[in-house]
Amino acid sequence: MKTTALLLAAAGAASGNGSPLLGKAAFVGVFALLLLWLLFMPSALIDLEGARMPWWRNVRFWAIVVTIAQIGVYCYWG
Amino acid sequence: MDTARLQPFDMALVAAYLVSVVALGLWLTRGVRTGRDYFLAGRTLPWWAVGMSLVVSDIGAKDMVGLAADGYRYGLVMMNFDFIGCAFPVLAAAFLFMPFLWIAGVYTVPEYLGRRYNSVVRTFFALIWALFMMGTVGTILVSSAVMFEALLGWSFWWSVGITAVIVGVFTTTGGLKAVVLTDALSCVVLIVGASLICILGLQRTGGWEGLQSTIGRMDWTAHHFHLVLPADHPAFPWPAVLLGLGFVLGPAYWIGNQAIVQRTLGAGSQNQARASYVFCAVLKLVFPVLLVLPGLIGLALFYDKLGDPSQWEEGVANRVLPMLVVNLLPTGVLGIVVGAFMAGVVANLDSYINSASTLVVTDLYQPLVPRRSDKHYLRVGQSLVVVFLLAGVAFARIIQPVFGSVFEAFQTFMTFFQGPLLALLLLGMLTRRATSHGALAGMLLGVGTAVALNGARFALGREYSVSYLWVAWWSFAAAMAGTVVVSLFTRPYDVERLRGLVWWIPPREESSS
Repeated sequence: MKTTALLLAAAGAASGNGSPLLGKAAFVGVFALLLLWLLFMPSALIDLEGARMPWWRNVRFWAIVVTIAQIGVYCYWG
Repeated sequence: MDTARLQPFDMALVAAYLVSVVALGLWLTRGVRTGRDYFLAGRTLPWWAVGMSLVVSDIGAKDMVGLAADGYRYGLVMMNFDFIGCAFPVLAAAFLFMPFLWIAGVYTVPEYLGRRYNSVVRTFFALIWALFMMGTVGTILVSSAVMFEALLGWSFWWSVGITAVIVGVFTTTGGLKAVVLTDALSCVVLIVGASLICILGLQRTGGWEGLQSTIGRMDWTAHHFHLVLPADHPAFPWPAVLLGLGFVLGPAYWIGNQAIVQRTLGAGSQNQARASYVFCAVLKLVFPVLLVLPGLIGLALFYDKLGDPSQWEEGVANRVLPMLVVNLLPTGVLGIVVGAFMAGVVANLDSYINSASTLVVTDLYQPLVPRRSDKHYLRVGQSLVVVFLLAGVAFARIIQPVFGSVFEAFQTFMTFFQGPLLALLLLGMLTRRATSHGALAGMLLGVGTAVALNGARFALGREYSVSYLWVAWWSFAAAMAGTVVVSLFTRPYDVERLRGLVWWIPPREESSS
């Protein structure tokens, strides 16, 4: 709830000058956190069979690609 | 009204698509012998087909028409529904939540809630989803009829009839496998059709630069090329989009919607299920562009005919996409695009009917009529598909004259429950402390909050109306708070009872290995 209050306070501050810059940072921040989680998630949680996958069959790799693309999209068009 | 005239070549393309879908669907009905074959495709579905099915289950023909209209009205901000509202929750679902449902071996989301909490929670959410899905079948049929009337001048009954027959033929007998694999075909047709509209439209506007400069000259389009709008924007303020859509509605849809989850439960393995979610996220990088860009192209090309959206009367919004189709597409291409519309309708409809049947059999019928043979439940599921289709057709006829308000009422109805459902799922999966009493209290508090916020405009006046994004967020927060507080004052479950249902307590086979 503390996080919520902070976010809402930030939203209020942003609405004061009508600038969505803070919003842009928030959207990028969400995907940046997701990226960190994907990068540092233990392999045991994904590779259930314990087999090493080539990069093009690795779901973690593709999830990271999607997340980086989303960060790029929000940085450019945010 | 602009309506397209299909030439013989266009008609041949549309017929080829329809025949292919029905033939593929019927071919896939072979081998359906048990309830598991029918409801979960015997857990044999390949990841790529599930990924494509996830996308087209989410995007129907009404979304194609609706997003083009909203793209015209609001611009790129509409892409948030597929970016923060999809990519983020889909990836979270793939790596965090889907494994639970998979390991638990459940058929439906309410079934998981029943095991985690109790049968009251299960029955409550099963009833809510069943009602929503049955209503959705009717709204899909009406919205497709509206679209085909605007696009091709077809009558209401012709549109509804042809859609219901095509979907009914293979969904009744083929189950999830037929639905998912025909969805994959529909997804390809949808991508090709939508891409053609964008490519031909951009050629006409002078490319992306031409599009930006034409729209930039208008005095009401300052935010049309931004995904994040100011916090005081009347329709899509960024905090509401982030919290309401990104943290509640998106996750509730991608983690808690039976029509979505059932597909991943039918995948060949847990890794395949995860791969299907990630593939869906990859495709969703492209789809928002294909669906929102036509709205911007329509704004640049037809503003003189369609005018300022703040002055639109009812029905004008539905004309944006048909206008593009009629004025831009040559023979041959028109057939592909009409095929794409049909693909959207068929894929959307078969998904909801199949999932509604699974949910009613598993969560409402089986608990009432237990200990029957697997064949019995299979037959009930197949019969329910026919019942839902017929009920959907009848419901479509009833709501046709007041469709706009009924569609809005259904969307509002769902916002009452999405937040509380997500809260119960998250707390159930991630904490061992959440109890059934806590869940019931959270559910009541969350739904009550949603009712109060939605009712504010009726009780206090229009100036007190609350955006549905904020309703979703605050009902979620209230349900979380209610569940946590009451759970802390009630007796926790035994660890053994929660084995395999909570993230920190794996099933016995895994914990020992």
